[in-house]
Amino acid sequence: MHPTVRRLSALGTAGALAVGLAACGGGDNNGRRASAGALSVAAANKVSGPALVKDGTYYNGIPDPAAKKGGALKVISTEGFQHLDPGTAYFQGDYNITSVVHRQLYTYDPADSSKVIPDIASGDPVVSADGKTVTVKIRPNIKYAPAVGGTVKADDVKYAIERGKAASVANGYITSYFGDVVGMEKATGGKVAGIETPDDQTIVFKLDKPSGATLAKALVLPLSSPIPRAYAESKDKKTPNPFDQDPTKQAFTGPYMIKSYEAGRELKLVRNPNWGGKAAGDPRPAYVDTIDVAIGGDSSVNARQVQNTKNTISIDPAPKDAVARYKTQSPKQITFSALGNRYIALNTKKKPFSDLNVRKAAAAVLDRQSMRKQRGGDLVGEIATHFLFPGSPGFDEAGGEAGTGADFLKSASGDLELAKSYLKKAGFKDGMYTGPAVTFVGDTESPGRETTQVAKNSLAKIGIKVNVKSVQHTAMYQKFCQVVKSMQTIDGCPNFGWLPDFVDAGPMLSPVFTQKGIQPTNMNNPSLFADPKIDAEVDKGLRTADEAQRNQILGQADKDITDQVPAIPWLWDTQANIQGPNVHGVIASWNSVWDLAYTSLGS
Amino acid sequence: MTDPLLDVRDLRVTIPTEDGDVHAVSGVSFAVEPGKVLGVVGESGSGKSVTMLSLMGLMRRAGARVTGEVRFGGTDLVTADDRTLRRLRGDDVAMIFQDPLSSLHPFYRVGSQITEGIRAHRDVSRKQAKERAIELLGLVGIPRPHQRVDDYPHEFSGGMRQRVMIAMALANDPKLLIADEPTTALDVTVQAQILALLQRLQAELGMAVVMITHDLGVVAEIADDIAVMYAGRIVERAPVKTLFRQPRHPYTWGLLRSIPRLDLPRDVDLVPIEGRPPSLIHPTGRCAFQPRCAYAARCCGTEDPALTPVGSDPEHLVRCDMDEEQGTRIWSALAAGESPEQAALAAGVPTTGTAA
Amino acid sequence: MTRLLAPVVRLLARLLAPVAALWDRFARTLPGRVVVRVFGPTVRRLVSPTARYIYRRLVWMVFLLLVVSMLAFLIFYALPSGDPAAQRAGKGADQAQIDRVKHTLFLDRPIYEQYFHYIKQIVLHFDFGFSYDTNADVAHAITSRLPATISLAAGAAVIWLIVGVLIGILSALRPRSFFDRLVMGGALLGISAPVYWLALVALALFSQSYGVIHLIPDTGAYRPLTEDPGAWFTSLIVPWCILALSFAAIYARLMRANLLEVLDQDYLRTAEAKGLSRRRVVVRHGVRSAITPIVTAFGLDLGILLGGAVLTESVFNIPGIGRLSYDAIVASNLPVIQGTVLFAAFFIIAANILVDIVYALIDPRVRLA
Ligand SMILES: Nc1ncnc2c1ncn2[C@@H]1O[C@H](COP(=O)(O)OP(=O)(O)OP(=O)(O)O)[C@@H](O)[C@H]1O
Ligand SMILES: [Mg+2]
Repeated sequence: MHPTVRRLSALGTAGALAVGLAACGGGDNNGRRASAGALSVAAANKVSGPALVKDGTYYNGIPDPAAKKGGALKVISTEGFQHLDPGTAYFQGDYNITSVVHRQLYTYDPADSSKVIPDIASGDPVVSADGKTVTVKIRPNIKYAPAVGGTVKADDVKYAIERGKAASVANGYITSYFGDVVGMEKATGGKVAGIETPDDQTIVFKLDKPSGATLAKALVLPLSSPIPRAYAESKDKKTPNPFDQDPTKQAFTGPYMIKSYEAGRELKLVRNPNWGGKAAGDPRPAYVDTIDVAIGGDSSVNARQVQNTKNTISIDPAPKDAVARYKTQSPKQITFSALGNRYIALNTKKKPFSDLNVRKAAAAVLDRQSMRKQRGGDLVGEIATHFLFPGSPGFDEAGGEAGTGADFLKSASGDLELAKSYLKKAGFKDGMYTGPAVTFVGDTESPGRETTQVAKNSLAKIGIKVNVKSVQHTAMYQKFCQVVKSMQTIDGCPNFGWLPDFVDAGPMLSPVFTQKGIQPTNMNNPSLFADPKIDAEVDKGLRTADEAQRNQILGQADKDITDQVPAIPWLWDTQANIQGPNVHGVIASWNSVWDLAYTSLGS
Repeated sequence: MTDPLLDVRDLRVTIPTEDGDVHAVSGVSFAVEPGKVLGVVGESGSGKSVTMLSLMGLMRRAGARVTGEVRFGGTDLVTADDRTLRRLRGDDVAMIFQDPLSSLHPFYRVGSQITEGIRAHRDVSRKQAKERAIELLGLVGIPRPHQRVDDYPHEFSGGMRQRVMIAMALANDPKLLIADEPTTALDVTVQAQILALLQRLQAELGMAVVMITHDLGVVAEIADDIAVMYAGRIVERAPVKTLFRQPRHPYTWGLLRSIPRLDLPRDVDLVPIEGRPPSLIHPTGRCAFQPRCAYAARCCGTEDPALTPVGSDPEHLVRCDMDEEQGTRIWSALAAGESPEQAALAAGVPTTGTAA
Repeated sequence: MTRLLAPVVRLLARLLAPVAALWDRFARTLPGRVVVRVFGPTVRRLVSPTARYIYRRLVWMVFLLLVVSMLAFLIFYALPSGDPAAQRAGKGADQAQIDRVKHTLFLDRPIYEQYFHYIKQIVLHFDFGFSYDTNADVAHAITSRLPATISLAAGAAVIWLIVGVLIGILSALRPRSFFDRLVMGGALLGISAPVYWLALVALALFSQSYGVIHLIPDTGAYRPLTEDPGAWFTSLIVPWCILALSFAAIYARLMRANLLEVLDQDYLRTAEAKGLSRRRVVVRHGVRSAITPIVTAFGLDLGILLGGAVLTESVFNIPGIGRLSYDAIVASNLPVIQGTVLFAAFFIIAANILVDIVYALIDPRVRLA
């Protein structure tokens, strides 16, 4: 047996998994099923409005206005945390904690995560017409927890972002979303000229390029959690960073603060007496008094204990066996939420997949149904028909659940005749591929190993022989699929997947299917796919501040990308979240897992 | 004839094994008088050790079934309970074993191994026991016994270890000492020393000794009587002089013809007679020696011959039906150095009976 | 992981034997020729051969640990696992960012320099670096988890030693009896029963929250002995038994076989012929000999277990070293891998030395040299 080691089996770059998405955590409400037999997550995602919605079967993770205050919540985390410094944190599990002990400039409306509301900020960000200036005003009355003291000033936010470039903090997304700020590229933790603070309540970001709309969206990320320069500057020069090694030293602004932490063992949160609550503009209820996180153990055993232990909640995805059991035995204690996508990346710069028709043939013949079965069946997600996943902005605009209309993704179990017809178009007589064998880099671990095998068998039906080079999941990313040079000998990466950093279509498409995503190492576009038309389209979307317009453009981009088949989408993941009796968990839909600041206990 | 110290009657030992019951001893009777030495001779596997071990109840653990009678000082050791036996062992009856290298516990000092035996039977202090151990070591001829008493067995040579074994056996002044091939594992020169030691001690201490060996030469000097064993039985028993002068059993002839001499290499194996010992698991009910006997045509019928006195001598018993005169003739031919075939021919015995 | 390490360390020790011989000679002269020459005779009289032996073995241990750490470094360097700097820098990081992370993690230096730095920090400051994953101090992570691992291993060891040896003796005294057949059959089951499965069954039967009878606390209830002896005991009793089961089974079989062999030895017959009581024969003469191979096995098994018992620690959520090292390997977290490997190797080598010393104490034929 292996404990679930999510940080490796999950999507995205193994080392840096950020999660954030728009599925309101609807469960499998009434067993409605999509055509492919999947859980109908998309349908459930449509829930909106603050009302408590119970359909008689499942809680759906919507805040309960009648919830009680008080009590001690016990949290079980099989995996534990990595970095709890909000400047470094880049994992779903870490966000669980950073989000309740810190406040950022913006946060998500708990009832509708596609909506961003001001948090430390006192109003919406103002993006200039040329997209090169973003101005944010902050509230004057936000206090730090007693250990640090004082009120939050604009410079604290400026410093919080600047320190992201310090080697000891090394924020993982700062380049992607704040890289265009004037002076940011060269910065190494010191002052950045492009972040101005004309007064204590005003922050102005000055950009080299017109990417202000996207930067404004990224202000929900934990990097903007304030920390006083005077308090932190000297500590930030140390390696390892003291705020990460001992997070009790952080400058807390959230409803809770970290009382004690022993990596891999336990984390204790208590109320932050200086948190102002609604009066200080934080809409979160913060029901429970204390939160004790027990780290470690075995996911199956933990899931069983949670099922039977009052006031306990698990922040790990539930293991397969537990999901089935909860669904029959205690359906009120399980909630599903959407979580990114999975696809087979095809190298568009190398024969044979440089030929669009061969790519279409591969997509047509792929038995996505079997691949999902290998991964765990309909409980693990829906069969994908494009890249934006249910609940993501732009999902509906790209065609929703039905798909973009691309014929080669119509059949979930593969369409051999259609595949052959595409191969004929590609110049292969009889519709059978006759070229040399191709090479995929797959996983040595389950379930990636098995799904790769399915892909291999599918492609064999049209004569494409796949040699699978199996390596450790991490190595697959960092030594092969993320290195341009390595990709010269590789035709496909079958175990790729992607999660957005925040609720927006841009981060789902730009890093993975545009020229931006191609760099010598640590790149995220293993398809090496760069189409000037699509690049321009995505760029336009990223620069558009208007929500509806932005989603329209990016949704269309998703369609266009799907048509070019740089990768074959095959799964939209769902995560199963479980809780014990007497707990009313609420899903932080942007993080796809419980939000501890909304979770309450019964009598 | 004085009352015997040890009187064994019709001793039978059967050992159950996975292949079947091994009839290791099938009806052995003999007696040892106080202060006398009995030599028990026979080739390997003839049941000598099993006989002696069962006397002391040491075959019980192997699950052996023992029947018959073993009288020692008024008690029947066959039916005696474990406590009675334990009281006798190492006290009135002591034993020395074949291999001194493996018969001492490697982890304990020789002194403590001796005192352990003393304190099991005598209520003496540790100190007294140790003094006795030193005395004993001196008695068996170990130099500097004060120091050697604290040494471990591996610090002694083979011969010295056998001396330690003897000292251990003598610890409680036994009335009967059973020496199971005490010299087999030793060098020829050391063998002689140990034999001389035993002879001296026997004379000095006046105890009875049962000396087991497969070498007749070893017991010739020391024994009063000799019992020859074959396949779990005594085939011939006589005072030592009689046996050497007038051996009656063809097996004894073979043994006598093959006494090793000092000028020969010591590991020349003693195969007195061609052929292999019979299986003890499935006894035929016939004379067990018949298949190997060069003269079988003359004596054995289908019956197993009984142990009967030779002529009028009640002290000389033999398990052979051959007539006396013929026997004498064959032996004199053999003693003159002729081969069994020649001897048989001379005595007019057809050799066709020599089965393999 | 430490299960795998043990044979590797032993193989290493064997392969390096010629070096050891040289080293031995070197170490013998190391205390300084002058000292030896001037004080030689006095030193020889004062320092027992055992002390000299231990000293030499300790030097040898340090050398082996160096080799083990070097190998771990090389393996990590050579095998295609993740790039820790890229992992740390995040998926959107550019090359400059990665390079800076590399620099702070010391990964931009040549490997020998990294290694030298690593060893230097250990020797000078007992600093094993910090985790790539959590920035936690490795020395602290290991030493703070050591008590749990020791508690688990030692408790289980006591159980399996007592139970295994007793059952082995009873079986050997009545071979092929009903009892013997029963327990030896049970032992076969015990050896083959997977720990993980046993643990799940035990929890399903007895756990506080979902057991059939609520007998034992939920997993994760472990508290240090010094903090809460009651919780320490109740949280460990089932893990002890489960961990001990397969060992007890192996030891029972080993003890039975050894004792049967010893009972057949000539010197046992001698003891019996001396008229000693049965108990004295079996215990003082039989068990004393039969236990020696057990002592060897015990030392090594305990040494290996002190490196962490991954499965038991994971299922019962006992914060020990096993889980730490497992997670580190899965995450290519070099500093933690290094630290745990070194500790595990230390325990294995130390156990080897201890076993040799104890062996020499038990068996007078063995001389430490
Ligand atoms: N414990 C036992 N289990 C089974 N068979 C046994 C056992 N002890 C002795 N035997 C068998 O009993 C027979 C007689 O053995 P014993 O040891 O008495 O022979 P021996 O005359 O002493 O031979 P040696 O000269 O080799 O010592 C042999 O066939 C032997 O294999
Ligand atoms: Mg014998």
